[in-house]
Amino acid sequence: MLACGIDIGSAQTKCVIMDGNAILQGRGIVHTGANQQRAARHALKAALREAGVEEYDLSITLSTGYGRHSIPFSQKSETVTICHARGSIYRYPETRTVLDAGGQEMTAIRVDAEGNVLDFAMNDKCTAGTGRFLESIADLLNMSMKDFRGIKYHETDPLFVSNACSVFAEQEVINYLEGGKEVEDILGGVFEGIAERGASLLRRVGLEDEITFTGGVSHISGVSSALELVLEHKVNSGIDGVYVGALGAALLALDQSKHR
Amino acid sequence: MKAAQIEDRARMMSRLLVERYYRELDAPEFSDRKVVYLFTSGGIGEFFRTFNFRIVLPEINAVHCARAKISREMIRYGEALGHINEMCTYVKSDLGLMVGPPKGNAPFGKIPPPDLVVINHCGCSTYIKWGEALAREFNCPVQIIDVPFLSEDRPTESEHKYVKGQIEELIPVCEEVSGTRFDPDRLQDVLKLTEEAISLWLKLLQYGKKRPSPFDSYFEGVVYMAPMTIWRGTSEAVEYYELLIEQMEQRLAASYSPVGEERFRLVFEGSPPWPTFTRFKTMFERWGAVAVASTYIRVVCACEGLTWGPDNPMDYLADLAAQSFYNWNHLKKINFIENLAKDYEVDGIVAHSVRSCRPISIGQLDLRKYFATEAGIPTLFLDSDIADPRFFSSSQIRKRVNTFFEALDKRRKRAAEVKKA
Repeated sequence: MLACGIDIGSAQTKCVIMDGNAILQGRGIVHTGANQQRAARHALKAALREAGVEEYDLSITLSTGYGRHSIPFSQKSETVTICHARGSIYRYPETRTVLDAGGQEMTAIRVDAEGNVLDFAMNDKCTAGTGRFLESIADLLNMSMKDFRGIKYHETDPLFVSNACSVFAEQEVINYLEGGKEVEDILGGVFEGIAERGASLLRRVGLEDEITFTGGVSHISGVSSALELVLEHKVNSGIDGVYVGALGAALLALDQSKHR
Repeated sequence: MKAAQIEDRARMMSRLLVERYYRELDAPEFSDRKVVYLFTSGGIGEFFRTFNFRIVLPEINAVHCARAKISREMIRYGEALGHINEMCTYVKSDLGLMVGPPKGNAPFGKIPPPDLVVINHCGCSTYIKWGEALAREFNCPVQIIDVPFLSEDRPTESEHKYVKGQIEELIPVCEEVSGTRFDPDRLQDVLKLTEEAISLWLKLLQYGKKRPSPFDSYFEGVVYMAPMTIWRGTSEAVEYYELLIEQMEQRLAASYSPVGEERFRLVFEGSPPWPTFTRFKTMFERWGAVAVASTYIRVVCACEGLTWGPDNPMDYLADLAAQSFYNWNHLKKINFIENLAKDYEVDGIVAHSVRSCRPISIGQLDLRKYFATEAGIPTLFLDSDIADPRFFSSSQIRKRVNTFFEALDKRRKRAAEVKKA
């Protein structure tokens, strides 16, 4: 018995394959681009390859994310918040509060011990604090997200960068560059701004131990370090944070196949 | 009679009353009557009706601009007059319509200029500048009824006296502008009709407690509240609510639900996103969600717990003004919503925050936090606007709504499994 979870995000599409005992068998990630169906197909192929199985071996597929209704090979779908809640409990069983920072949205979620959503709050209209915002800063600095991962927040002297509006934040970054400020210190400020925004959302749903940071932005250790500093609290995060939504989708697919 | 026919009658009657209201504002047979501009929160139209004023409600103009899909254009005119982006979009929409190029000519009617502007400052501080701008533009007198925020559950004696005194001071002003003598007997008669309409209105709100609720207190309630807003103190309002009660009884007998099958019961807090109202409504309908109670439809008349009646007309007017929903203190609102949630046995609360209106949206995040964390009632917080469609992001709102209901649905299924086990 194999279950597949697929998370079509605005920036990246992630796919996870699990066996009937909820053991991870394979995963794949691709850029979403304009064609969500094609991205889903490519992510699935990558996951199948890693798991060493074929598509017809899959018992059930559950999709989530922006394009969740457009995937022809999925039988079920759930909203991404529900998937992140479930996936977080799988990765860190003591999780009670989740911060998911994805390509376009930041969501704080309060969960129970089984991964059910008790409450959630999402960022308002502005994308400041999301992956898209970090990409625009990376473009401005002629850097990549990979470069960002190498920045150690604790080694920077963070400059103040507004977190209220991504356009204003970009202007501030340009001003700092013109003023000859260190790129690392500017990035320290950017990370801190994102962390402040995340902390504000987390406080809105109520902070409860343990806190888990998921989504593509959680891969940047500088942001998770800044989040820990702002919250004065340990935060679970790891390099597989981007897969948490897909993991949750696969787990929910397993649940549903058991009920069939 | 089929349930669908019942629904059509109430809706149609409300629409006809709105059309008649706008027609009469500009009708030649009423042209000798003076025009007063008045605001809805804590508005006491009955008082002005006795002076034969034609009553214009600038907020209602803004609502109809949004429903007629011209609010963006009117807001642009309003902004061209110098009003900033963050300014109340009702104000910009109304000033765009009245002062901008349309000069009061709207698709829903021609709005006459004011002979008197009365700012019933009740819950909304922007009313003052809005009314002043209108009075300045049309060069007419402006009067303020300053209604203090309720510091306690009900108006204190001094608050009551303060409001009542101001209404009494308006008598000579109204007599002079309208050319009509104040008639206390007529006021009493008009207020008796108000009281009658209020008692029917309160009866209507109780239907939300039924399962399934025969009406939606938000998505239908805003249609049903129109006669209460614009026809206060008239037999038209009384007849309308009699008809509505009759239809509710028929719906009840037919086990009718406005969403087909009632799956989720909600309390709605906050004003509706008027320009995108239908799209917003569909997002809830598809989940079988019904607003069995809402706070917005109590804005024109919170009605419960009034101290005075029509036998003491000036006291009754002061009470109606001061006890308007937006004039309540935060704690009173929270207690009230919590009681609604309990009495109407709801599954959750939806708070719609208005970008351009801080006075009515302030405290909603605290409200959300209290209900979601301390009271344990799932609460959905949404953010858009009352008149500016640029603040309504369909995909963001749909995602939040779907997440909310999927989580509720899962929780319900899990509870059923536990019970079964």
